[in-house]
Amino acid sequence: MIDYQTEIRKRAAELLKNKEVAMVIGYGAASLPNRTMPIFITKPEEADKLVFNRFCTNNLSVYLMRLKELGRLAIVSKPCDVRTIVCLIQEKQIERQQVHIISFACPGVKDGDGKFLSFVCANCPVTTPPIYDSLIGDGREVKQAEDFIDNVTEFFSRLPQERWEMFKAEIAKCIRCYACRNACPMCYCKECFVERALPRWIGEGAELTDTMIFHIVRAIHVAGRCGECGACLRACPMGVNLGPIAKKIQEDMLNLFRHQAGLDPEAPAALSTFELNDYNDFIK
Amino acid sequence: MKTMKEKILAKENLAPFLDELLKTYRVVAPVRAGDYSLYRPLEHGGDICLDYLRPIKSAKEIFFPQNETLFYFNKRTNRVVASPEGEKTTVLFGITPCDLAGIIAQDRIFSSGTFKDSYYLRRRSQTILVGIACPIPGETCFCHVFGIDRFASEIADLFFIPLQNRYLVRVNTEQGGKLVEHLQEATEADLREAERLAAQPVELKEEIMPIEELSHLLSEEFESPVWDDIARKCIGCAACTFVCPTCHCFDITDEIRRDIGRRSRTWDGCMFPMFTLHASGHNPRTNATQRIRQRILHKFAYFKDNQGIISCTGCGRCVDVCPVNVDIREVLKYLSETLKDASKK
Repeated sequence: MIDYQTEIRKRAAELLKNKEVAMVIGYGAASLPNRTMPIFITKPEEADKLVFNRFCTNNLSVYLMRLKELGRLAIVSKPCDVRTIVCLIQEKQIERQQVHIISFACPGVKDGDGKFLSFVCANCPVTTPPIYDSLIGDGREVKQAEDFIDNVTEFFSRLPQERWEMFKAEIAKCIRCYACRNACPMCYCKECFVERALPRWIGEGAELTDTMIFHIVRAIHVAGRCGECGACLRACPMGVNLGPIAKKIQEDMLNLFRHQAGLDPEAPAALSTFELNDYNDFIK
Repeated sequence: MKTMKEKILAKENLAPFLDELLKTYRVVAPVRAGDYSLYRPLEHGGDICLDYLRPIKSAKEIFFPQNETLFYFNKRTNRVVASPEGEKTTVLFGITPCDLAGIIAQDRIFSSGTFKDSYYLRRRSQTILVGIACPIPGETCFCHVFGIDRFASEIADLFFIPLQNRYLVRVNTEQGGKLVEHLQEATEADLREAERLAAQPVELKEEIMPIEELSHLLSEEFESPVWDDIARKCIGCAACTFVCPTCHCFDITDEIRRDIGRRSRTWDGCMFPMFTLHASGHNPRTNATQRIRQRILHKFAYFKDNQGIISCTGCGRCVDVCPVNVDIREVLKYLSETLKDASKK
């Protein structure tokens, strides 16, 4: 059994020592149990601060845009996080040479108290990195046979009216802190529509429908651009779970438009292309 | 003020006690909401949930809601056409010592000094505060750093201390006393049990320098490079500010439909880039470093300079909710170490 943590540290130290990268973005020990936190390593001797375990939940790609001025960046990246890097490359937000991706075949991360595999991981369609520069381990797919709470199937087995009520109940929990948006590498708009004051797109917070519009627009805005990493779900302080809806939208992208986000940096971005045979049954 | 006689309420009689209050008052208390609790108006006494260490959000929204209507106006006549009506007297029940300390900070902002906030004051003056002791602090709690007493509060009208199968009720005000008049008086044994509970040592692990000392150092270290280190991982959401018992910044907006406008105020968050954006387009705080420095200095230096107290109660909520583990205790520890070294040079 290969020790991922040791290998990651070794690789990070080498990259910094050879001056191949200016910084390694990775996971470090957190102040709380069952957690890790993002850390930023610039010296080879600090590479031992990097940790790797089943609690490496953050999607670190969110820092690439902010730190790209520093030079080439190495990043410890789960396959789902790599998918968001691919999307950023497709959308010309970063260049391929800008990042050195350290990735691996992923067994999935744990949720909350560490008992369960995250349902996002249990339903993960891409468990090996689509692109990488350093591969840790042999890259062979890891079987995911752990316990998880399947709220995707549960949600879609319900009647539309029930789903609507569940959706409203989730939205009612939201406190509009935008942790979901800010944890998402694909939410990189310099000015989000929710903050636009002239004209104002949504009200500031009293109405459920305003909050709903934020979540619906965000869900649609990441259609075909979502790496399905679950960072938005984990960032939420109030436990708002719109995971089943996010999942469904990505499945629709695959089934209706044959597009799966973040697999090929050369492929065009889904929302900016049109083909004559695109699904258009919604135009009556 | 002479302390009034302590009272006793059996735990099994808590729900009926609250039901009795509900006949006269609006009662707000921790209520279960999924995997956590929230301060919410009770429908029935039995809805109260004291299973959690503290509600996930602080009690500040009872006096300072996330969004509130200030008034309605007519756009053509430029006149106020309606103001929101007051609610009946509220009993805020089961409020933790850290949240009571939060109310002390909020009071300084909204109801003392030159500018008094009528919206806050109206709610605040119509509320009876019933605190509850916090016998065992949680993993992210650090209220001891700020000298908060987990077994008493001077601003609570009543203060409940959970004993084996009953509550010892300390009566601080006449207003509070009226709510518990009918309860039986506490015995010497009850008082001794409460004292024993309060005297129980708890493990306190934070190695933060004396907060007064740190507060003084902070105000001199505006340009220190430590702020960059602290801010690097912050993703700029408002989870920390929205759950905080002392954060009080807000934004005022008008929503207009036809001729009638609604002026409202909404919580704002200093971690948002738009927070300080001027109408001219200039933004004095353009990066995360400046924003996080503001948050820390506001709580631990400026508030102390302006209001005489530190505006953190050590409730630990921001530690719990931060998606990237920006842990305010670690930040203070890091500042303690680096600034102490820097000041020696």
